[in-house]
This record gives sequence, structure tokens and C-alpha cells, in this order.
Amino acid sequence: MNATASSNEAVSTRIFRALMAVFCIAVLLFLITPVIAVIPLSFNAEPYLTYPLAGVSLRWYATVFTSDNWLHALKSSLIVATATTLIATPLGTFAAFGLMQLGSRTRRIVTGLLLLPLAVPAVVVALALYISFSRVGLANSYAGLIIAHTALATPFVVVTVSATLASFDYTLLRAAASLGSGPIRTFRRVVLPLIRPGVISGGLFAFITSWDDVIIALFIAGPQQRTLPRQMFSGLREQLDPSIMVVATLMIAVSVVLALLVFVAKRKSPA
Amino acid sequence: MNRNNGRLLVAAATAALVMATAQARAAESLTVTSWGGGYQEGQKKVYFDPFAAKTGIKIVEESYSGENAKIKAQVDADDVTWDVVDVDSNMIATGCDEGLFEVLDYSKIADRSKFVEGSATDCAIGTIVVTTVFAYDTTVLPQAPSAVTDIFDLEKLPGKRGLWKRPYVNLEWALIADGVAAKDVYTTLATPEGVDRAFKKLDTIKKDVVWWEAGAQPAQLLADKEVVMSSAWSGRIQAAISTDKKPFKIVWDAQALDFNFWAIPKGAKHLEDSYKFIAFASDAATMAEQSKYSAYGPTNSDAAKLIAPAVLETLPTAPEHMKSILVYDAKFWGEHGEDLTKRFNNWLAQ
Amino acid sequence: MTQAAIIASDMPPASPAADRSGRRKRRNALLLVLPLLIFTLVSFVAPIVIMLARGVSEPEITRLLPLSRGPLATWDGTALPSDDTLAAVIADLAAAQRQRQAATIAKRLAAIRSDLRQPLLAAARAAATPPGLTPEGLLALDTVWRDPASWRALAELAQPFTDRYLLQTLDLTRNASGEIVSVPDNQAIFLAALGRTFGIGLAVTLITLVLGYPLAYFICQQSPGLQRFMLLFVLLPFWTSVLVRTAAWLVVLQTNGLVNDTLMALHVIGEPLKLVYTRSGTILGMVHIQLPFTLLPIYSVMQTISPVYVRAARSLGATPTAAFWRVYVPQTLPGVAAGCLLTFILCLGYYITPAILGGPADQMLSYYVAYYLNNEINWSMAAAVSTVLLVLTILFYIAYSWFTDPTAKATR
Repeated sequence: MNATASSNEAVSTRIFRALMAVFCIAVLLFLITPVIAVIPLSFNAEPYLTYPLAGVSLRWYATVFTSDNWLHALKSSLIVATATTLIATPLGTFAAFGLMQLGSRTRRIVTGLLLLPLAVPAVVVALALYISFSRVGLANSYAGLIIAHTALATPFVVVTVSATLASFDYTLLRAAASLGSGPIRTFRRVVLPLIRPGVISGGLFAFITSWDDVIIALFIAGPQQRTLPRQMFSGLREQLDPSIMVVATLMIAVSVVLALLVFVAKRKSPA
Repeated sequence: MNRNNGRLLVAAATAALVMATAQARAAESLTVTSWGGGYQEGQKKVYFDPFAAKTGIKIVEESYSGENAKIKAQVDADDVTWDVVDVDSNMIATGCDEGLFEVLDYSKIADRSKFVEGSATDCAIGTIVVTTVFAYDTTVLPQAPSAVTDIFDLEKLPGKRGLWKRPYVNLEWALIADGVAAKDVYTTLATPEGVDRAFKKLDTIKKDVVWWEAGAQPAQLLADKEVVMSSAWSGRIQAAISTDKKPFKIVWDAQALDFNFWAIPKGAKHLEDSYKFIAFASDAATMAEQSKYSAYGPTNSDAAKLIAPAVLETLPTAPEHMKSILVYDAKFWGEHGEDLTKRFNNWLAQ
Repeated sequence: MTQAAIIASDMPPASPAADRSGRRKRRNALLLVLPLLIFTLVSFVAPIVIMLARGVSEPEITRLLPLSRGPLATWDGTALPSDDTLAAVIADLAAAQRQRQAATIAKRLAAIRSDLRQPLLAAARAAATPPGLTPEGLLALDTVWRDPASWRALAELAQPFTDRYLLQTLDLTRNASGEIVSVPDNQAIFLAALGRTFGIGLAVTLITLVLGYPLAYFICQQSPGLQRFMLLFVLLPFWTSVLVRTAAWLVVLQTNGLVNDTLMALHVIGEPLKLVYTRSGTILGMVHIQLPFTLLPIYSVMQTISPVYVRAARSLGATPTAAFWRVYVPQTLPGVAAGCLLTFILCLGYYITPAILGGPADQMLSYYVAYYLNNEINWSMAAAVSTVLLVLTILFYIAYSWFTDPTAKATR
């Protein structure tokens, strides 16, 4: 290898590196721009979704927050997501804790079964639930929607809590038992405080699963249970004005806050 | 988490469930389903809000795009969530016989004889005279289209065109553009050759069509310049012209005149309130208000007298607009709608 | 949404303590799992099984033919059915007409033989109108009723189980003599939809790989602080709902949206590109949603790769390119396989994005599930399409767990 060749190589490497950096920054921008771009549009003074903005105003926020339809949808979403979180979190937490103590063979099978809802396309789940629920009177009801969202949300709780439990010291259980503590008491006093970050993250995942769902709501919810994403979906297909962008902005904000909470919970994790 | 936290969690979960079930049985509300967009906003101002103010019955709004299936699914499952629906004549042509709608007791609504011929049927009472037209943006097209033939003329008027994602009116217009006289359209369409001919004509523009589903979309598509012309329900375009000052123009050639109706799905849970609502909405004075928001004709002949002349001129029924019309045959669509819809959807997907 | 990261982070291994614990502890453990297990079985597994059964049966039709389905099943199918059988059919049709369900039977019968719709409706009307119909009267009503082929169609409809919906998902049908044949061209849509589902899935997977692999590599080479900052760009959209991101693309891709405006301002294009309601718009939206799913598994594998090997290869005289391709890239392949398979699997089930950003010829399999449920109210057909979708997904999911499961690799 002579000197010119190696300096040529150095130059081409540098050019390659620069191109690579440009390419990667472009991809990063591709990822973030659409999400960011909708936010200013929600402040547009005119009913258009184009840049440059005609002026800045809060009129679309006023429209959304005085509209019966949007407020009703917001309320439905909050009811369903809260109930889903409150049911899915304990169910998933207990199951994850139990799973850890099963034989590895049983555990694999049961885990596979419990995580199944993650693998099945949403439309298939929605159809299956619609067919079954309409037979037992659960279609077009809050209860049906909450059950459906809980089924989709529990796998997230199981996985998140299991991840925290991986670093759990099982000798603590024996120590507690030898001190005369019953299993329930041990769980509440010993286990729960240690795995709390995982439980909180799992709960947040459960909330966002329900909060973001549109397909299940489209299939099995009635007009009384119309959620925010469902209202947004019909809005997108018929009247695309900045009020949709207000709701989009709101949903982005909720996602960001929840993501931050998960991040904080992980940081506080003792592991 | 201490003991109290645990209890709190259980209590909160119970509370959420109770709240959820209580919500499901929310008292005194009526679900009214209509066609969305500006049309429904107008209905909200003219019918829904005043009705709620008068009776204390809250209206829960739902919108759809005329999918009969959504009603049938509710009726078949015996779980009807829509109390009153704004339907078109395609839906009642078969829906009444199939038992999708309650047979109306006109004594609870209005004087049936006051309604325009054909608009007071056994299962549904007319609310508007509606029409399908096509419209274009005057600032975009180099020359103005004047007849439905122009929709199919890509050379003269290049660009995307919007059409309803249903066979209705599209097949009729295709035949008219292919040289069939408006009066012979349905006899032609009743033959397999006629159907083939219509689809063949549609094939010529298939690549250049943006299919719309909801009534609010055509005006939106025109405004966003996604299409250069679009079929539409006249009132939506008229609203864009008069309210939003859009440079749109309606072509009234071969406009397909029809009605929209109020109907009650069979087994609706608040029958008396549904009747109260329909009676309220069928009142001449209330109905006359409607045309201020969407330029459709009233079906109650008393209401026609209450509408300002300036508004009357914009309605589909204005003499100026009635020169060339396609008499929409709901009975034909009742018989052939299912087969043609299936063929149309397969054709779309191919 | 966040499925990927979670599926990707495999379940932690069992602690030895748990394995050694006694039977009683296992029973207690099972008690903890039981509530969720029962919940999942009842509210998830059972509905799926019921749905699968739906794909091969049509209870809403067989229920309407309670008297005639037995005689029709035992009928030999050659000569016309006996008078008793005909009387049973008439009684069923009369009952259906009174329940206003005759149209439902006619609709499904027309799916087998389209020319039977009107004759059946007429027969049902006549059967329900006094004085009713006699078997002879029924045969006299329309020439089609004197053709055994019409009765074979009705007999097929009355069967408790049917393969016709599953066949239809492959654009196949049975002809008059029961052989499996292709459907007429103007009805053949499913093979194309299947091909489109695969095609879009593959295209999205490949594009996310081409965009994601270099980006993952690039991020890996930055300082930890910069890495976190860059990951923010990946994770923020990742956490945002699919619907919101699809809506964002709808706005951005419009004729006078951000993309077209920018390209026009830069004089890259003379007139706006058609991007919404097209295949390319759909793929673009899906690439945006799936990119983190492909990227994150690759990134996490890259983080574990020690630079030692590449350095060793370089010191042995390999060019940087050779060292990269022959030493570095092979080590990242497990991440590439996991990320790509995950993206491909998730792509198979897309509904929202094509529905909003695509045109009628860009719809994937999920669309037909929704279409048959909401527009045709044919639950059996919706279930049959779902079955196909489910089987495909599970096949690829098995491949995926094989790639990501460490124990599977150990036994390889």
C-alpha cells in the first residue's frame, strides 16, 4: 500500500462518512418532521392545513373544547383507558409474579398463551370480539370495550413486570416466609415495593394501548362509547380541518407525557 | 405500596366499572345519525340543539355514509343503538321490506298530505330534496365543463375527478356519457350488456378518479386541489360557494334528483322520543330553516313557502336547474343494488 | 405501537430458586397466573376459536332453514327433491318471510348462483301469502325450480359447514358439479389482495432496512449523550399513535401539503405530485410507522458488538469495506432478521394507514375483513379472510420466535 493510495482512501472515507451523516440526519428528520408538523397547524387562524400559517389563533382549541362530540369522545377515552389500566395492571402483575415461579416448561407455554394478543392483527381480534360480544350483549357497551382493551393491554404489563422481576432476589421470599409472613403480606410488603417501577411502566403501557386504539373501537363500540381516536378517524375521512390537528396535538402530548413517565419509572428502578 | 394504596386501587377499579355501566345507561338521550360534515352541522343548529332545548332530550350525534349494513347489523343483533337515521331512498327501497325500519305512525308526526309526492313513505318521511351533481373549481380548469360527458373526457379536461365510492349515479352517468338517453338509462342498466357498457366507460377514467365516501369530502377535495372536478350532493358545494366563498361552480346537467328521509331502525329503544324528534323536524317552520345551512329543497310543501327567494334560487328544484335531469330510480336500485354494488367493489379493487 | 420493543426484550430466564421450589409453591404460583389465564382464554382465545368456526359455517342461514336442512342434506341431488322436502322448504321460506329474513337467504343464495335471488324472494313472498304454496305451486312458480342444479345450490346453503368462504379467499369456487374452479374474472380480488399485502409488506420491510441499518450504525458510533438525543427522534414518533401519524402524513402529503410545497419551492418538481390516495403514500406512511420496529432490534444488537473483531480484521490486512461486510455485518444479522420479520409481520395486519392514505386498489387483507363485516354484513366471509390473515401471521410469528429465542438456537 503506497502513500497516495492510503491518502486517497482517507479522502474517500471522509467523503463517505460525510454522506453517511447527511443520510442519517435526513432519516432522523423524516421520522420527526410529520409528527412535529401537525402541531403548528392546530393554531392556524384559518380552516386550512397548509403552510405558511395565515395567523396564529386558539379558535380550533375553542372549537374542540366546546364541541359535544369531541368532549364526549374525550370522556369515553378517559373512562375506557382508566378502567383498562386499573384492571390490566393487577391482572398482569400477579400473572408475571406467578410465571416467575413456574417450571420453565410450563412457564414457556403459559407465557406464549398470555402474550398471544400481541401477535394477532388488530382487525382479526376486533372481528373475533365483535362476533362473540354481540352474542352476549357486550357489543356497543363500555364493559365490552374495556374487556377488549384489557385483553390487548395485559401482555404489555406481563412483559414489563417480568423484566423487572428478572433482577428480583428470590431469597427474600424465603426470608420473609421464615419470618412468618404469609404470601399475600410478603407480596405487598416485600415484592411490590421492589418491582413498583415495572408495575408503573406496565400500567402506563396499558393506558396507552387503550388510549391509542382505533380498530377495536371502530368495530365494537357504539355511538355512546365513541372514543377520541374513533372520532378522529371519522373526522379524517370527512372533514379535515385544524380541529383534527388539535386532537392530534393533544394525543401527541399525552404520548410524550406517558413516555416520560415510563422513562422516569425506569430510572427509579432499583435494578 | 402499603395496604391503603392497595384498597384504593381496588376501590378505584370498582368505581371505574360502576361509572362505565352507569354511562351505558345514560338517561334521556337520543342517538341521531346523519351524513356528517356541514350538512349535519346545519342539522345540529336547526334540529338537534333546539330539540334538546325544547324537550330536555340530549342528542348524541353519529355520522355515517349511507351504509345500510350498519343498520342491518344492529337490527339483526337486536341491539339497536341508533334511534333516528337520516337515510336515502336506496336504503328504504329495500330496507322497508326487509324489516330494517319501523313502519311510521303518521298521526304522531305530521300531515302526510302536505309532503311532496314520493317523500312520505311507509317507513320514512322526507326531510330534504337532494341531488347529485358535479362541480368544479373555476380557477383550475382551462375550460368550463358543461355536461356529464366532460367527466369522461380526459383529453379536454385532464386531471383527477372525484366520484362517490358507490355505483349509484356513477353507472347512470357513464351510460349517459356513452350516448344513452337519460330516460333509457335504467332499462339499459337492467341488462348485462348495459352493465358491461357502463363499467367499460368507467374504465376509461378509472386511473384518474379519487373516490370519496363521505358527503363532506368533495368540497374538501376541490378546496385542497386534489381533484379538478367532483360529483357531489349539491348542498355541500353550495355551502362552500356561499359560506366559504370558494370559486366552485355546479354543473346541473343530468342532476340525479332524490330525497333524504328520517327513519327509525326497527327495535330502536326510545321510540316515543324518536317520534317526538321526527315530528319536530318535520314541522314546516323548522324545516324551512334547514335550507339556510344546506341548499336542499324542503319536502314539506308548507316549508317551501317560508323560504327566501334568494335561497330558493340555489336549490336543486329551481327551474333553472331542472332543464336536464336524471330521474333517479330507487326501485331499480332496490332490485339490482346488491349485485351492482358487489360488481362495483370488485371492479374498484382490481 | 410499542409491541416490538417488548416482544424483542425476551422473557428473562427462570431463577434457579424458582426451579427448585416445591409443588405447593408451584400451585400458589399457578393461582397467581390463573386470573389472567382465564381472562385471556375467555375474552381472547375463545372468541378467536368462535371466529375460526364462523369462517366455515353460517349459523344465521342454517338457523333460517330448520325444517328443510335435514331433508336437503339427505336428498341425492339428481332428480328433483321429494314433495315432503319441498313442503319443508316452503314452510321455512314462509317463516323467513314473516321474520323479514327472506332477503338474507336470497342474498347468500345469490352468492352461490346469482340468478336465484329474485326467484327465491318471489317464492318466499308466495309462501307467506295466504293460501300459501303447494310443492307443485313452487315448481310452477319459476323454471329455475324445475332444475335440480338450483336445489343443489339451496342444499349447499343449508349445510352446517361449508368451505366456500375459505375457497373464495383464494378466488376459487365450486361449479355446478362440485369441482373447485376459479371464480369469474370480475370477482377475482383476493389473490391480488394477498399479493398486494405481501408486496407492500416486503417493500416496507426493505425500505425500513435500507433506512434503518445505516442509521442504527451511525447512532451506535456517537457519544452516549448524542445517542440518547438521536434516539429521541426515533422514540417520539414511536410513542405516538398510528392514527395520529397517519393523519400527519395525510396533511403533509396533500397536493398543497408540506412535501409538495417544499419540492416546488426547491424547483425539484414543476407541479404537485399525487401522493395521497396512492400506493406510494401508503408505503411512505407505513415506512414511517415501521422504521423504529426495524431499527431498534438492529441497534440493540449493534450495541453489544465489540469493536475488537473489526480491529483484528483490519490489522490482518482487510480493507475497511471488507472488514465491515465480512466481519461486522454478519454479527448484526440476528438483529436484522428480528427487526425485519417483526416489521413484515406487523405490516400484514395494516388497516388504518392504507384506509386513509391509499386508494381502493391499495387495500390490504385487513380491509376486506372490515368490508365484509361493515358493508356486506357477511360475518362468515369476514371470518374466512381473518383466518387467512391469522394463519399467515402465525407462520411468520413462529419464524420470528425461532430467530429471537435463544433456547431455539441452542437446540439448533
